[in-house]
Amino acid sequence: MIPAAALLLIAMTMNAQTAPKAAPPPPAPARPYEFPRAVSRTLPNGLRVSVIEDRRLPLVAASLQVLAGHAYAPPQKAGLATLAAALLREGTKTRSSQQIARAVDGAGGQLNATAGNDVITVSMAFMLSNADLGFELMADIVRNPVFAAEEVARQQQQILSSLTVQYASAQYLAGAAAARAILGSHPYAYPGDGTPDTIGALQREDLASFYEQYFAPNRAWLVIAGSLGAEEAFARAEKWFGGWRKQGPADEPLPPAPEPQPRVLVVDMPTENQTHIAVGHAGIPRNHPDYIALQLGNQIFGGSFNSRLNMKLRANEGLTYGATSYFEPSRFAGIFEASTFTRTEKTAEAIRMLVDLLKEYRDNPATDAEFDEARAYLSGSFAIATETASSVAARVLAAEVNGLGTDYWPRYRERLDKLTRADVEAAVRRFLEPGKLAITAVGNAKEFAGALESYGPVRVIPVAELDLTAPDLVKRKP
Amino acid sequence: MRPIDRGSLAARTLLPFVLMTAANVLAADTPPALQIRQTTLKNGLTIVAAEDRSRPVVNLQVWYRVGSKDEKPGKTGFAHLFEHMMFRGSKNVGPEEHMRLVRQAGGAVNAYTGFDSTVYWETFPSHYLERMLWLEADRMASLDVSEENFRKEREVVKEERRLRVENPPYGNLLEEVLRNAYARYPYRHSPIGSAEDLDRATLADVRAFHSVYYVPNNAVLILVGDFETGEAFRLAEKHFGGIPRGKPVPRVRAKEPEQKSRREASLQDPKAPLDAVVAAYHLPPAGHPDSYALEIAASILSAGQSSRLYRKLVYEDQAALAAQGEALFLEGPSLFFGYAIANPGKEIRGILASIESIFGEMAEKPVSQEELEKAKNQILASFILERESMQAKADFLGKCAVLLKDPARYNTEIGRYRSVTAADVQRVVRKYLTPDRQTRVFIHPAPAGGK
Repeated sequence: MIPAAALLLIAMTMNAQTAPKAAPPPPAPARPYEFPRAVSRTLPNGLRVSVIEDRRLPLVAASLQVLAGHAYAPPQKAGLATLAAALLREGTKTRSSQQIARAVDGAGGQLNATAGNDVITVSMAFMLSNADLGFELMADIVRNPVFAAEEVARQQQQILSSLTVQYASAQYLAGAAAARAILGSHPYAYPGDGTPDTIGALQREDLASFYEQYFAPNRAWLVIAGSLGAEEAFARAEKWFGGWRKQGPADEPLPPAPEPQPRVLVVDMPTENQTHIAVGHAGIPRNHPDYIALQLGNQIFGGSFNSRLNMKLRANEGLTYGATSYFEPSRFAGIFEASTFTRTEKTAEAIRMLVDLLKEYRDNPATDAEFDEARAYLSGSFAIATETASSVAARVLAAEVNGLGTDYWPRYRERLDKLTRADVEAAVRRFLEPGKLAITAVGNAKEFAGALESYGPVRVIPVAELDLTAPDLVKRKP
Repeated sequence: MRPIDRGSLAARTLLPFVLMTAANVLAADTPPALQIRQTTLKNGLTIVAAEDRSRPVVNLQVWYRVGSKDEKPGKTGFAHLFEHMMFRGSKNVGPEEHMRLVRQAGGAVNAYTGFDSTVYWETFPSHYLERMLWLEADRMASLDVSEENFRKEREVVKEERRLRVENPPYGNLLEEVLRNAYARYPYRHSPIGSAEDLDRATLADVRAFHSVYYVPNNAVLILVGDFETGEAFRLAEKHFGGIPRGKPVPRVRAKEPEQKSRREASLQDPKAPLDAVVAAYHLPPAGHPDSYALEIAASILSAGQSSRLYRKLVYEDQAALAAQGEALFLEGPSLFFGYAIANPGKEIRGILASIESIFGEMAEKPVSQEELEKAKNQILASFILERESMQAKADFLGKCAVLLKDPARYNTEIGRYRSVTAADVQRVVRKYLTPDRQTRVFIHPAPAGGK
């Protein structure tokens, strides 16, 4: 007779040898979730207003977007929208810069203005009891900025100093240079922060006339989210923005993105021991019918930790801390880019793997398992991505500005559910051109530039000679 | 004269209005309280849960009381390297499977390593709660990492170090400040550690570290979101309850000697294009009664464009690209940082002198009631604005439970800020932001051509 203890030992040993893995517990039934309801209205002056009531916090937030982004500044004035946005807070007809700052800070509020490719966004967040002050200040900086010469000079200096720091960052330069390599001379191709030359040359009059021309209610959208009912919120919009009577130019489309062309751009920074890499070609505008299918496909290629790109370069090869791919869609064109960074000596190897993975991806965009997982992720994460009032507001605004339709977010998961693997494969094949990639690498060029010739004509530009707004990216000799 | 001057009259009329509404803020706008419940399992695992059913979302965090300060000499960066290994496989979960199982649920997942603790978190649709508990319990109970994956992951971490420390401008400044500010306490090195030490780490170190520190009696499980608390406790017990209690966990015993005189260091950095300075001052640990007045002082110095440092150094003198003062409160001896980056052509020593004289003014003279109320409103607003999501709530709940050692402080911390007086602010500035407690580190661009 075998003692019980021995039986147990045998059982344990067997267990250790076969090591059957337990499966994770199954999910409980899902709780229903609906995208929060937004109510929209257009004021007589053309300003489109959307309201999301959310009473979980004693907070009111608002964002106004105006079609006055980087794309509306000519290349030789790159950074104009950024500087204009920075100046909005720096003085109005009735308030100085420090008066605005004291009013905002005194109430513990937030009031900011930033520029993107298409729009300048002015946003505020105030506690409920100070919400009216928030609207008053926001409307004042939107409607009455004065662009005082002294304040312009001050903000110019701030941007110049921060560019001085940015130009020492390979990561920053890789992003900015890749936009030019991919989009050529399209209005979306130029750095939004400008360059030291363009920022330095801007005048007060440039800002004032840019503002005069583009800031108008018929080119703007407002979203209000927080502890206000729809009628209360519309009344605030009417009170503070209803009297904004200006007519800006109609919303004309920008040209389409250029056709992809293979090219290699290397920015030489000999001090670096790590190279920043960005590979891509023109993407799609935000309202493109393939947007959801391509987003789903991108989850598989490089949009998540478990994507093919990150699993290969990070998990399996240990070449990088991160490798991702993404679409940066604007209103009329966009960028598709895969980016990573690796130690100098592995640069060529990482680029080779990345390009090979893109080729393989076009041939084989999704297995059934990959498709199911990516769709489950996009659908399941929707409630998390729209958890806060501000994240809901941002999505409502994106739908408005990009003309996606008011049912876009309420029916988003329904649309995902209808997508098939074949839809994704077709969209990826229509879109992706792995033979025509623009490759940008910023790092110690002599260690890797020679190995990149098979991808297209290679240009190496020393960082001191880089001019991100020049047609050929090189500073003209003085 | 200039259009800007026409505003000053309006401002005089605006200001009383602001003050009036500012006073109202405190009564009307209170951050919603969390309903917090706590239990401890027989194996020592503490569980803190706060139910919030407003969205079908949960954030789960496991806080381990181990960070870079617990690393042995010659093994800096190990706690963080270890954190990466926690994604490389456990008994029932293969390498990288953890990420995949969270993702299939629609969730997000990550981890971070600090000086004092290491935190693993998931945010996910609430019906996947049990899966997430199972995943975290599996890697607390067991770790199963191959030698090959260990070596690859070490390369990943070295890339992270190149990204954060070795290549960006000012990337190595923090390390230099810590090395000079601390004489003995193991905050002398930052969590990323040194590349040479990372190379010294072995898989045997990984296993030993897990068995010493990754035990239920050294962990706190935080749950915030859509669940019924009793059910969440039951599921947590089901998955974590069988993990054996570990031995008592070793703790840092080092004491930081009191600094008696000012220290100074300077650094040539070929990547830094502008001069910069950090002035670090020794502070008491997180949760110390003086910490609230120090945070209020930091807010008066740095929060917003009306703050003292911004107004003087950035706005009026246009001397600095940025100028800030902020406290870094840790479990052990902490630091207050004053720092600035000089605009081109501006003298960095002059900028530091200005920062010191602004500190000096606060030590000499109590701040105005207006500035005090402003700082309190900003902190109150941050309690509301920065704790919107389940994850943001859990971050702070974890900090209260682990660093402040009482989760109930989630709801009461705001009261400690509210009771700070102008005299308190003056007292703490006078006590802590003194020349004798200061370590100043200058960073200068390497001379043209370098060496």
